[in-house]
Amino acid sequence: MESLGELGRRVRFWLHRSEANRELEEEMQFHLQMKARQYQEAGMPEREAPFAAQRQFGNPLLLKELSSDAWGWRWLETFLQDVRFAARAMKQNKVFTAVAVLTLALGIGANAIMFSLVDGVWTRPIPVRDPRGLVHIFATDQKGQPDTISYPDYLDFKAQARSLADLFVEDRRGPTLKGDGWTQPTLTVATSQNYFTLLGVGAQAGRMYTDNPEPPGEGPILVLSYNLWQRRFHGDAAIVGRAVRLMDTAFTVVGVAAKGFRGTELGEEVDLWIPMASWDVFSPNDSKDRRFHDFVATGRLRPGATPEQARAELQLIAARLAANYPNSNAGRGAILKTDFEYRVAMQHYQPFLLLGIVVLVLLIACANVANLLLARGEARTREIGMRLALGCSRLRLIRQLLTESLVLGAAGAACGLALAAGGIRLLPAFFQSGGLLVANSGGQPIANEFLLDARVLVFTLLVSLATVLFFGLLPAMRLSKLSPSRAARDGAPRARGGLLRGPGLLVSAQVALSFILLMSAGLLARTLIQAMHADLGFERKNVLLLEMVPPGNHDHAMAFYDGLIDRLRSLPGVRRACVTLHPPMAGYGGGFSDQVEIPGYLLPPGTPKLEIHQNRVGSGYFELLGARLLRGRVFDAHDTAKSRGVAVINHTMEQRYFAGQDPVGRVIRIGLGDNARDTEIVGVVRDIRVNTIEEQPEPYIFLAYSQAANWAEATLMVETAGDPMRYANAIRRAGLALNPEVDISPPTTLENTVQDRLQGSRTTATAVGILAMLGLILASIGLYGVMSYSVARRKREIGIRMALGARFGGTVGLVLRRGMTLAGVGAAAGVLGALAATRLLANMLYNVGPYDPMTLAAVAAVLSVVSLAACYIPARRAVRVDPAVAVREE
Amino acid sequence: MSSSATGNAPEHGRAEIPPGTLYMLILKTLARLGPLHGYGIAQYIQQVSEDVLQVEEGSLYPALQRMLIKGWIVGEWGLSENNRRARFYRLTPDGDKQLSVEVSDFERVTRALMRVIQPASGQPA
Repeated sequence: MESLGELGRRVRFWLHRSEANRELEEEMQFHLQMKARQYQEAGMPEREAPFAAQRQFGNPLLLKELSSDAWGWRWLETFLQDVRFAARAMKQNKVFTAVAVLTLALGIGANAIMFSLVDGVWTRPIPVRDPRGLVHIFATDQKGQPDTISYPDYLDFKAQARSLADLFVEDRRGPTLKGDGWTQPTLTVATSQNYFTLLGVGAQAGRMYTDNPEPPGEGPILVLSYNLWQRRFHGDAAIVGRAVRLMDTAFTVVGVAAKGFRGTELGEEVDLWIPMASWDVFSPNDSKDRRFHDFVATGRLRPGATPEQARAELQLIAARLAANYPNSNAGRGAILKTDFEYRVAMQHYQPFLLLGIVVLVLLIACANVANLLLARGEARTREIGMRLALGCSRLRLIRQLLTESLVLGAAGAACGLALAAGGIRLLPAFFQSGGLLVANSGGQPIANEFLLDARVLVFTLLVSLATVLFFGLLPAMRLSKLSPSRAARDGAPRARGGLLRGPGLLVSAQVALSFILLMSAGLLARTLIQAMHADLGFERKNVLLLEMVPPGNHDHAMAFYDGLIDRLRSLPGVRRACVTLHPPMAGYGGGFSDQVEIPGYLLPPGTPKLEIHQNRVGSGYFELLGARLLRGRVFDAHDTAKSRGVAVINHTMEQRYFAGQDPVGRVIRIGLGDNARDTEIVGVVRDIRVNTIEEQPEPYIFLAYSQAANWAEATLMVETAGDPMRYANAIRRAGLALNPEVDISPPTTLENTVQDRLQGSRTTATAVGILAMLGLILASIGLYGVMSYSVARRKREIGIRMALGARFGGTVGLVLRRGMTLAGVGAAAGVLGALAATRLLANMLYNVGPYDPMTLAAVAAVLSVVSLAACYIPARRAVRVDPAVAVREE
Repeated sequence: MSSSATGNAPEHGRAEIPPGTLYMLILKTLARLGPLHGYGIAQYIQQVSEDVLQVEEGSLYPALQRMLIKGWIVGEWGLSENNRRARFYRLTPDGDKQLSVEVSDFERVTRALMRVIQPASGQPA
């Protein structure tokens, strides 16, 4: 134990170390003189006495060092000494330093960027009070599967569960927000009143709604997200207290949520929050119907309560609800997940895969630097042999060599961070418009989440330290094992394998790692190609999409759409036009789902009622999409609000629920309770992809848009001759000419919409592709470097061979064989590694197996060509050597 | 290499200073004589021990530095008996305390050693 006073004295000594050293020297000098005098008095000749004293005293330099060891800072001084030495060596060897630092910078920089990405989206906790203390509560359905809960159930759980301190619910919706000259769909969260209080999220401007009742007569209210406030209202605080129009209803803005709070899900970007009481203006039944379970519940445990207690209690309450409300709650239970369990269940593991891939790249980079150090070490054998011969301990030598690696690593990390700082700024653009990351519903990339903050810095620091150990330890250990006598005698050891075994091994490892990287990139690229050419069940070429909201009710809207489509017919280049609530693949989650009763189809006992996704489409929809009609008819002008409700179902629904019978003409019941309506099936169409390219076909119902009494907004789909965007302005003008009040969103195309769905695969494939290329380049530099080095060392041998008449081809072959053996061993290991690793990718792949032989063959071919090139250049250089020069040189 | 130093300083009859006792010897010397320089300390120990204990310079100066750091002694520059500049070490109150700790520890160990190497009285041999 060191007392504070002692530490203080140590520091004081160290600060005045040159003075202390001088004093020590003077003191010793005095001692020597006294001793000499003593010897002299004892009768020694005057000339000899000082020398005798000196001999008795020992080595004053060593003694001084031993004495100053007492201050305990020598390790620091030697470290600084080593650093200075390393810096000098780096300055002398500029090319070596530049290559090593650049290699490390690429590896470390890529890691820092990837970590900031992963951290920004998936692992950084959401900015609320005690995020890890949140618990998530789900209902379970009759099969025991987790399900969302209904609002009345939530109120009962909240009131009765004594192990919970508080509980809130939220439900994600997508109403359209209208401003001056713009409309935008929003991600809106309808919540219970206590949402912000429980989360501990404050206001950036205005106030958050709380459990306290709103002042009477206010009408519906909402809270803006910081980002929406900035984007649409330019951060103007005057918006608080003013009204905005949401789906043609005026909502008063009471506040703006604190900057950085984007909702409770990682990676989501909420635009608006609305308390349930205000949401009721749209659908008052949502908060009253126990069968409408659409809410996600989150809460906090009461201090002292355990998750187990809460689980037991929630089960009990659920059982009581099931007994009291058998119609809606029979067979339903409740479960609780801690925040950790919830995250695990969400399986956000794709980013960690990317992080794993980027670590592979770093490993390749490390191997390169290790090889450089090994090669340089050989050039230094004489120096190191000398040190060892002079009594430098192996440990001390390893320490010095590691310090040199540390300096390299620090330089690499610094440059890597600089690269990362630039790269991170490019990330939002790279991930523009959805895809890998969840962009907000306005299509704006999440820009403020990628930071070069303390977390990224700490991560980079740890990675760099690991890197230094990885690339520095092997060369250091190897060099310290040199026999001093041999090293001093003949300088570099002869080319007898020896030290070259290490580089060879590293190169093989690099090739193996590259193989895995290329295989991953190849599989993802194949997935993308497969997805791009997948048969979606509809034709996506030359279709313009225009989202519009005409004023007035459904009837007004219908009249507007009919009139517009009529006008468009006379527009040159327009082939067909129709309306739909949602175009396919537009990311609306398959439309709304509703309970469906199919007379004659017997549900297996104990299963819940059928819920089937639906969309509303106008007449002409299937013709425009080229979706093949299998049976019956599609919608036409005779299907109106006044005629009988009609539906077209997809092939999967026919097969699943109408085994062998013709569904056309059958009547099904769609909806809940009083809202349920009889609907006649008039046709069956081939399956079309609704949400994603990879999805498995599910039963699906198309209803006539003309019979959608609640809806006025729709997307106009126009099939054109040639590039649809060319017609956008004309169509827009036609719409505004018909009714200047109509809101029309910026145009897009069906092709773009489908492409957007591929954005995730594309981004991942691009990212992995870039990393794989980086890995391949680094690995081929490694192979090239090691082969060049080996050729340089065998210059004399090759010179003699050539002088003795060896053939040109034979000598090239000699070098090539060795290089290709290294590459071959690496590739073999790479195949095994890839087979093990690509299984992790399996659920990111589409129509491609993880062991896809084509990709395997392509990767092998690419690696062979690159390896051959990397070996051939040094091999050719070898045979160009003039034998006379080579033999004489050494 | 001839050894003329040994000619003036007889080797026989000398012992190494038992490990761990150098601090105690230095502290005791300072406690008895007051401020003293390194050479003086070495000489005194040698003389008082009748040349049995030889203080190696190789351990004296590192020990003095460590004691400075620990705060048991302080060093002050002054003039030696023959008017040379020398660093005189003086005991601090902490050093005084440390001395009694070291001495009692040493006595305890010595007593224990004696008990082990001398047959206990009254016991049959």
